[in-house]
Amino acid sequence: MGERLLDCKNLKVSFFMTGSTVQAVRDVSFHVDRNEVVAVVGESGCGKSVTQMSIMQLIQTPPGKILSGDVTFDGIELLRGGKPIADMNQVRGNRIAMIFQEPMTSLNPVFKIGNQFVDVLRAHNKGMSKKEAWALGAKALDEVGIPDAELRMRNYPFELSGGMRQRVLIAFAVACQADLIIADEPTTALDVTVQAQVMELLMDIKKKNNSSIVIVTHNLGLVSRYADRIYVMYAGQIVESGTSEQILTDPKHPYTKGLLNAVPQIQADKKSDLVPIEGAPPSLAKLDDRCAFLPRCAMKCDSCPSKASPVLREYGTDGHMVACHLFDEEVAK
Amino acid sequence: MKNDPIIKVENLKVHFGLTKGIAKKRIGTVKAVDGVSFSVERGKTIGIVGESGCGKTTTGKAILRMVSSSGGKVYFHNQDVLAMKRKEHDKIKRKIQMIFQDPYGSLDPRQSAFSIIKEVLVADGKKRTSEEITKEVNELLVMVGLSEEMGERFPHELSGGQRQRIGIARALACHPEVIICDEPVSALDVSIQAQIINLLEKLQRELGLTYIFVAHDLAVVRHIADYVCIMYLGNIVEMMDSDEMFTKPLHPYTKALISAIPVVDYHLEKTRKRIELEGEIPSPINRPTGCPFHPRCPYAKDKCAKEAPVMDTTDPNHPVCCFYYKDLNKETSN
Ligand SMILES: Nc1ncnc2c1ncn2[C@@H]1O[C@H](COP(=O)(O)OP(=O)(O)O)[C@@H](O)[C@H]1O
Ligand SMILES: Nc1ncnc2c1ncn2[C@@H]1O[C@H](COP(=O)(O)OP(=O)(O)O)[C@@H](O)[C@H]1O
Ligand SMILES: [Mg+2]
Ligand SMILES: [Mg+2]
Repeated sequence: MGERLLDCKNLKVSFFMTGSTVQAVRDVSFHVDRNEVVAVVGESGCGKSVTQMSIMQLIQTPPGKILSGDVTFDGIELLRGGKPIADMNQVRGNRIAMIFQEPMTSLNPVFKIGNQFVDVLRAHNKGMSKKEAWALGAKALDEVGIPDAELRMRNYPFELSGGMRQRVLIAFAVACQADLIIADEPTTALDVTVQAQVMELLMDIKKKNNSSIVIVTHNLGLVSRYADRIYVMYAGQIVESGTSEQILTDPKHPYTKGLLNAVPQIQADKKSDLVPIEGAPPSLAKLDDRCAFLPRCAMKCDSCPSKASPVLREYGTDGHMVACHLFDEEVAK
Repeated sequence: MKNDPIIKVENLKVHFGLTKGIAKKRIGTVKAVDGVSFSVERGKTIGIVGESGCGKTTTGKAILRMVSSSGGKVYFHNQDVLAMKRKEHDKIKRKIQMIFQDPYGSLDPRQSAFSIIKEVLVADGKKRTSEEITKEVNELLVMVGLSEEMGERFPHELSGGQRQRIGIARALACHPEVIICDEPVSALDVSIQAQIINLLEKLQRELGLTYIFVAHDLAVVRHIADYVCIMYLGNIVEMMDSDEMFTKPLHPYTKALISAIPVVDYHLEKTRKRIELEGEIPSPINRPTGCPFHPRCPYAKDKCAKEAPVMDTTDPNHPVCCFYYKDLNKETSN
């Protein structure tokens, strides 16, 4: 076991809309150790982004509200009982960096890349001069493999390609020497070749800075290549978690199995029919207290509809967790 | 053995003029598609893959005459579509349809799904009673796996997968023989993606459709296509049976693309060899001299920068556009 870097317990987040409440995160607990790559997977709308945004306290309030949750980062209490404790400005962007699918949303379109570096760096290091910050920024751009870094510092974000913009965000994380990088679908909009470059870069940075990475993605191939551990989310809850090997080679939850079966394989003997998960995820405004996957489950038992939503419990003794009634007895043993 | 192709594309070129200022001074040419040839038999699927900007969408649009081509021929049942007069083309237009990555952008937000499909259906000019129209639209909805009630919904009230189904139903309303599918599942979750792929396969079996399937996800293409074209900067660099794409890739670009895809199989992934490509696909405005792939090719030699290779058809079913692919595959196989 590594040293615990981030610990999130019992996070609940809802959006209070006129006429309905969207329960986006329903009692989620997860952790990240130092040097670890942790993946959060699941279909869109299942609460992956809201979970990570809550850690950063970037939830739009109203309509959103963190209802509960205790979050500790490197010994600093960020949230206690859903209430903010630490000054997030000392953590956000500096010790925890965030990279989004569309980097344009986190880059300011009207400022040159270089000026944005200066702002980010000086926000966290009051004593740093503009010149020092600029130099550090150029060095970081160089480190993330952007050619002509000094020239690029004078570019506006729209003058760069999608892959380059993603590198710029990674460069922010590099310049700040962030301990934790939360990458939310960082490569979804990119071509596979560029995706591979961006991911390799993230892994290099991680190694060099001894940092940890949370990667939010629906690409299970990426997870297989890069993640140490996986959390599978469905309808605002974690339904299975474990090491990548456990989840990918021995999935337990019918949802995890469904996700894996739906992916087309490249191996020669795998040109069989794809097995989709029928239907669609439920609306998070209309959940009852039963298993949220029930309507789509291919393995449900006669007794499932009459049972309360299953809780996440350890399967066996090796840290593999699953929330499914199929394993009620095995888990109890 | 070979049947007559339903679609045959010969040396297709689409060059866009790059103009500047209000005087529209021509400052350059974007060779978006620069000599593409392929053919597809009735009832089969041809896949076109490659990184964004390599000319996949433009190829599809040129076949439909949605963009004007600068050269080449597109045969549909042995008739040259590009040479047809407007009126002639109007007659066959409905036979070749296109579905898009983001059906949202191509569905009128103010119309219900029902009227979106109806509008296309009645445009064929056939006489129908309104009961017949309702019946036909409802049949189309059911055919793509939606309920009749879904017809009442507006695009924003539908999920991504449902919108793609409406896009497919709208294409089917023309009774097409060929559908050009432009990244139809790229924006969908894997679970939903599988539903749409299965639907397209079912429709192909039932209606004898021919697909030109454009995508950047090689595993998806491998799954749905019979034959595959790998495109790079407006050219096809390799063509092969889709079963050979992962087992016998010959062109260095194809190999690099394949090695870049992470696979879900955990143990396989841990043992795969990787070829990393430097840089990104260049803009077709600054098309490199010689082989367009040479600046990123890990195996490029002097000749590659000077001369452009032509298709090597030693294996007519598996042509490759590379000077050194034979040496390369000798090296890597032992
Ligand atoms: N600002 C917001 N206002 C209202 N609902 C929101 C907001 N942000 C997210 N949600 C809802 O929260 C749920 C979870 O969203 P999200 O975490 O973005 O999903 P994921 O990242 O897994 O695709 C969704 O139902 C989404 O519509
Ligand atoms: N109408 C246009 N005018 C100028 N350039 C265009 C136009 N349409 C596409 N292009 C350019 O042609 C190239 C190929 O584009 P496209 O066919 O959309 O690629 P793909 O679908 O493979 O991503 C790109 O460089 C693109 O910028
Ligand atoms: Mg998200
Ligand atoms: Mg395209």
